[in-house]
Amino acid sequence: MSGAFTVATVVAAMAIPALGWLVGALSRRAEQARSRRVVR
Amino acid sequence: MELFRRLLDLVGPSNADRPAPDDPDAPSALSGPERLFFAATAFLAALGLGAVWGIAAGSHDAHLAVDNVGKVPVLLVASSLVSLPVALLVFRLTARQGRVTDLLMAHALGLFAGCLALALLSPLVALYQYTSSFAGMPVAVGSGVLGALVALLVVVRVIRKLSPGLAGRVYGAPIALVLVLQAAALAQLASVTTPVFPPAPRWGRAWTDS
Repeated sequence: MSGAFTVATVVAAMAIPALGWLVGALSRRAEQARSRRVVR
Repeated sequence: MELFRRLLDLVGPSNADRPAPDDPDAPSALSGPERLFFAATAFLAALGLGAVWGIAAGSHDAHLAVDNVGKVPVLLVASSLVSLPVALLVFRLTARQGRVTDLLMAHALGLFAGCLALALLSPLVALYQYTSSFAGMPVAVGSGVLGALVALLVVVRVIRKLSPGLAGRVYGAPIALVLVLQAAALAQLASVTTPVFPPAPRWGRAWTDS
C-alpha cells in the first residue's frame, strides 16, 4: 500500500472517532438550543 | 430514526425551503452548535453509507469487498480534509457575510445525500458485479458519478436553505473550490491504493490462450 494512503488511513482513523466524540459533545447543546428556540 | 428524518428534511425540498418566520426547525434558524452537530452526524452517516456501497462495488471478490469497507471511508475522509480547510480559508478571506458553519453543513449534507444514493444503488451494483463481467464496471462507475451529482445538487440546495439570498454571491467560490479539490484528491488517492472495483476482464484472452 502506498505511503500516501497509509498516511490517509492513519488520519482517517483519528478523525472518525474525533467526529463521533464531537457528535456526542454537541448533541446536548444542540437540543438545548432548539428547546430555547421553541420556548421563545 | 428521528435524527435520520431530520437529515432527510434538511436535504429534501421540504416546507423548510420557505419557512414561517417563527418556525423553530427552519434551517436558517439553526444555531451554531446545531449546525455543527448535523454536519458531524451527516458526515459519519455518509462514511457508513459509503462503506455499504464499497461492499457492493467489490462484491465480485470477498476480499476486495471487505477491503472496501475501510477504503471508501478513508477516501472520503482524506479527500474532505484536503479540500475543506482551503475552501474555508477562501471563504473567510472573501466573504463579508455568511457563516463557516453553513459551508461545513452543506458539504456534510451533500456528502450524506450522495452516499445515501450510492447505498441505495448498491443492490444493483452488486447484482451486476456478480452476474456480468462486461457491465459490472460501468454500472459501478455510473453509480459513483450519479452519487457525485446528487451530492453537488444537495450542496447547492442546502446552502440556499441556510442562507437565502446569499448563496451564489458568498458561497460560490468556496463551494467550487471544495468540489475541484475533493475530486482531485479522491482521484489521486484512489489511484495510489488497491482498486475499489475488481479488475476489468481482458477481452480476447480466451482466444489467445487456446
